[in-house]
Amino acid sequence: MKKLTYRAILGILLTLIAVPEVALAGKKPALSETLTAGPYVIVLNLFQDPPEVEQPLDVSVICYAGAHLSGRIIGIPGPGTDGALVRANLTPGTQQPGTLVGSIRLPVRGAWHLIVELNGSRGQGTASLDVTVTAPNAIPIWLGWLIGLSPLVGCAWLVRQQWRYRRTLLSKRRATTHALNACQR
Amino acid sequence: MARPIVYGGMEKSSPTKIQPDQGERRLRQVSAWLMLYLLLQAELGLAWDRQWHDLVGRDQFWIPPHIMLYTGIGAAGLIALCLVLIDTLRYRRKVPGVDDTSTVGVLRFFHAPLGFVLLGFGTLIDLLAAPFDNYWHELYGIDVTLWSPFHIMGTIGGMVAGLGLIYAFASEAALERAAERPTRHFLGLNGPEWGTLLLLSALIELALPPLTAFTPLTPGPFTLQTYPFPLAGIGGFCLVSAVQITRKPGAATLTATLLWSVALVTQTFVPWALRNTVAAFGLSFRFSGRQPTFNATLALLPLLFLVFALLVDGVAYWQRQHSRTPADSLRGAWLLGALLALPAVIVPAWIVQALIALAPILSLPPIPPDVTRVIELRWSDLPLTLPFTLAGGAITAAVGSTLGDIWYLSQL
Repeated sequence: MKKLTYRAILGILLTLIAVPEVALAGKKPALSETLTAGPYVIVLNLFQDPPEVEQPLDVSVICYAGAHLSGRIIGIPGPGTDGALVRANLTPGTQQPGTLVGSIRLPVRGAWHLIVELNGSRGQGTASLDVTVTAPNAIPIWLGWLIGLSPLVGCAWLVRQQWRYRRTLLSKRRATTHALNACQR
Repeated sequence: MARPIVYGGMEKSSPTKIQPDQGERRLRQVSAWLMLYLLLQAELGLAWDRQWHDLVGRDQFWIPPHIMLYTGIGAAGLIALCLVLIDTLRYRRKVPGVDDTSTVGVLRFFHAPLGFVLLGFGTLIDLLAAPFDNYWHELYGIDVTLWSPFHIMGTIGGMVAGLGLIYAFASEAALERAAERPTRHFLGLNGPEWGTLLLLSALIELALPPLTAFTPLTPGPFTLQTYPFPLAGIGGFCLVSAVQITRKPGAATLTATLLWSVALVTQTFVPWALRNTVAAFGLSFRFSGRQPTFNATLALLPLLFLVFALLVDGVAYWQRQHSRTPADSLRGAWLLGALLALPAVIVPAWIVQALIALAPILSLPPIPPDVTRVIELRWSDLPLTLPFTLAGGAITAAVGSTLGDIWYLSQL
């Protein structure tokens, strides 16, 4: 029984480690683009199109040359996107030889350039693809300000309450001082 | 006949016996000091976070400065929540020191000191603002500015939490002044009074890094410099209330000195932490020509508050010498706040000009471009800038004086 439990835990852990690949294995790409990365002709698969902001965007790179490749994917903010550069490593996929898989999070909605950097027996190569990251159900700016400033209602209540409290404190203090002075006399 | 000295509305008695409410005092004071540490940690995290956004970029939520900031806020909020629950229980059990004179009722069920309730709400506002702020960054980008709805919400939360902790320390200070037992003093101040002054200095320091968000406004042919507003506002409020809470001349200067220490620690820590974490995480700085450096402008700005603090303490001392009751409230606080306008406008511009001139001679790091862009004063800007700063300083000093009265007298 104990052995079975250990095996189950080990199985779950291995599944979790291999999650990107397990997830990709069962999924069809939402977008496939054939690109040239220096000496390599690759197919870049995106598993979400359009990509959503801050959601892991699973990607796979298939190289028909079948060379031993390593690489990474870089997200560079496009025009009008106020974001920072993001990177993710691509790891060899076990399902299909010559495939690299990875996952990248694009932190801001808008235009992004996805750059695939590859290293292999034929040297280095880069390819790029432009994507537009979306943010479903974006709240309008006025609603943002309404929520952001809502604590001021509580602050206004506190000010009013404290104003009254101060008057009570000061009148109590005056009464105490008068009483003490009267005792002293 | 000699007049009695009135402390916190009660005559001070000679030391006699152990108070029955000492357990409650210990509970509240230990909680308050723990929360002070956590809020200072959060403030340091915030200063680091600002520089991270500026120099590294905002790539995800779980970055080291956010962890430092939100663990501070979250832990302080948890302690406040625990204390509210414990005191509610103690109130119902009628434990000495926990009654209607030392707690406020919340939602007709909870009973806790006002300061801890406020601190709890403040940290809650901050924790609610965090996911919204993250969402706002996802929608509109990394915007290193104060002027976004959830940065303002976070600032309000931070201010409420800070004010809550001042309430907590001030009520303990008032109780210690009235206590029928000997209490420890250092430089004439009891422990909770030191906590209050440290917190006030941290509140002023909170206003220094976001100063670059106060860019000049240009209504018509005029230029209105806005950088003096937060300086005069927070300086007037905190330094006047420092004297009001303690009723001791010298409290404002002590606060300004503590502020200088806090500012130096912040400006030393931030570049060091940035360089180390960027190297450790394999990240790179966004701009090749901009590396994290010691911000000499922000380290020297407390000089402005030291000048003003000496003025406040001088007036408080003079009033004390000419008053029949030494524990009297500071009179004409609004006028003192208004007087802060001139140094608040001129001193930062002088500091920046001096640093620009001295940087090549003393091998100082270059002044960040956002600082030189914002803190730049021409004499033609004074007619419009000075009256607004004067009004702001007067109003906040009056508010500081009013709250100082409450903090000095209240035992809630």
